[in-house]
Amino acid sequence: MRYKCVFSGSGGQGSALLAKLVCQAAIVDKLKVVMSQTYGIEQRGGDSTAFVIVSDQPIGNPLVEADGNLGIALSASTYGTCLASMGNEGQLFYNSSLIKSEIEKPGLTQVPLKASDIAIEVAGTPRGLNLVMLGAAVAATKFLKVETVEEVIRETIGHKKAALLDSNLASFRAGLDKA
Amino acid sequence: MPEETLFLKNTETFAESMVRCGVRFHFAYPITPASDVMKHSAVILPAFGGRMVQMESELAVANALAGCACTGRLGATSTSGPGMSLMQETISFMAGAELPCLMLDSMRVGPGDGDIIGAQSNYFQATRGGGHGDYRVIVLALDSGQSAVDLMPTAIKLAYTYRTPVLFVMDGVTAQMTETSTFPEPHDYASEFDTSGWRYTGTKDHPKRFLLTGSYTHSQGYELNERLRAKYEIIKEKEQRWEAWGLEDAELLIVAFGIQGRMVRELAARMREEKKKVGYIVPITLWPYPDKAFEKLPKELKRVLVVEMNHGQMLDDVRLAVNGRAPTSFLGKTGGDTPLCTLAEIKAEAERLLEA
Repeated sequence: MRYKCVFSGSGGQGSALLAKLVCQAAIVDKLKVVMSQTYGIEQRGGDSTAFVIVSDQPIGNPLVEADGNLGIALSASTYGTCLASMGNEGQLFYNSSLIKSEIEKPGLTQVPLKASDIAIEVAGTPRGLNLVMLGAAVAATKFLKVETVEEVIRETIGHKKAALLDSNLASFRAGLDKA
Repeated sequence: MPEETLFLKNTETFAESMVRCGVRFHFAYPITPASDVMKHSAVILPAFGGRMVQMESELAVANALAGCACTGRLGATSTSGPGMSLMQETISFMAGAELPCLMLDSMRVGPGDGDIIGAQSNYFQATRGGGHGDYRVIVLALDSGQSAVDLMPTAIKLAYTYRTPVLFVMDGVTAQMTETSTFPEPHDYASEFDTSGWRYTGTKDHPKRFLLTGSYTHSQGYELNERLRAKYEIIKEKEQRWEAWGLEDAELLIVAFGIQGRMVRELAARMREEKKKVGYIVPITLWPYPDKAFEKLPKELKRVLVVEMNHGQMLDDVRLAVNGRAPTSFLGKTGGDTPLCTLAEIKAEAERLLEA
């Protein structure tokens, strides 16, 4: 198996955390992982995209070059970038609370999910939207084990901000249910 | 500390790896995309009884490295193009005085300040010495964090065996990637080498020693260079390293190093599945250049394709090694949001050449 993932979002939405959680869960599941991020003269609140390749074989080409097969777009301004990195097969999950119109791409399955609204519903804040999206992607593709992702969320978020653990887990589970 | 797998930026993996193999002194000055090496070593070195020292400039870094080496201890530095250029005077001195050290050039776009995004634009500087004089340094190409872990013991062995600076080159794109690397149990390779015959220890128990490169007579300059030449000949004979695949019947031979070599490995396997006769040579040592890999080229060979993140630098060495036996093409670029040839671009060029 090989998933070439594209996670894009605007500053503070947690696309980088999303990428990190996926990597850590994949490592626990004994998979190979490469993560790269766009970098340069960035600013707070700016757009960012993280690329993660997860594979059960050694990873030769570390680039996602318009051949992504699992995408998550969190914001309207990064939806286009995310779409451009996707190939003609696979699934792109997008946050339809913020991304109002879908741009068609032949062969690619696009899944709208009102992630910001769902996050507010289950946790009282839109901040868990990245985990709602992750939940939906994990449920639909099964590219990672649900229990491994939950374990990694506990370790990563629970370790630093124990108070936020419950709301993040609730967001992830809401994503699992909505898929 | 048993074997363990860590998920780190490749710059951090480089720092982990050099420290776990015995480097205790890391001198550096911050520069993108190499700063993470010193940030990481600063955190981990004290537990190993060492220190990262941030100097006031790259000139100071290189001279600290030389001073450290004079005492027989192994020092290391990490930098990128502009910093590498500033260090060249002292690297030339170290080559002449036969002082060992480890260096990392996390390459970015040049010339001048260029751009902070990754490149392979320092191949010429790395493999032609870089500073003044008839000298070379051993150059090892990295394509992942794991390759730094795997090559580190070899690099230390080469630095001491031949008393020479050893330079790792890693393009900045690879440097900034985060991936898993598996580290063996830490082992201090650096302290295994006997330096008692040449290092500065004071003159209580032996006559005065010199680690000089200037000569008092013309004959000393001649002798210095003859000694270096003899050493370089041995290195060229014994230390060429490379990976080759598919050479038994390849019609197209692709030559690439670092991240582009890593991509070509996957591409060649994929094209073989499509019944296209593609082979590759991925150099691990850039100096000495692995000429031996090119000795027996397949009789079916139609063309050689060199792929680099620059405008054609290793290309010169490939042409020398192929020596007119097959036409040589080049594909490369430097800079931009994607500052390297994608797999799709290399594949398209490979297919075009096979059909031509």
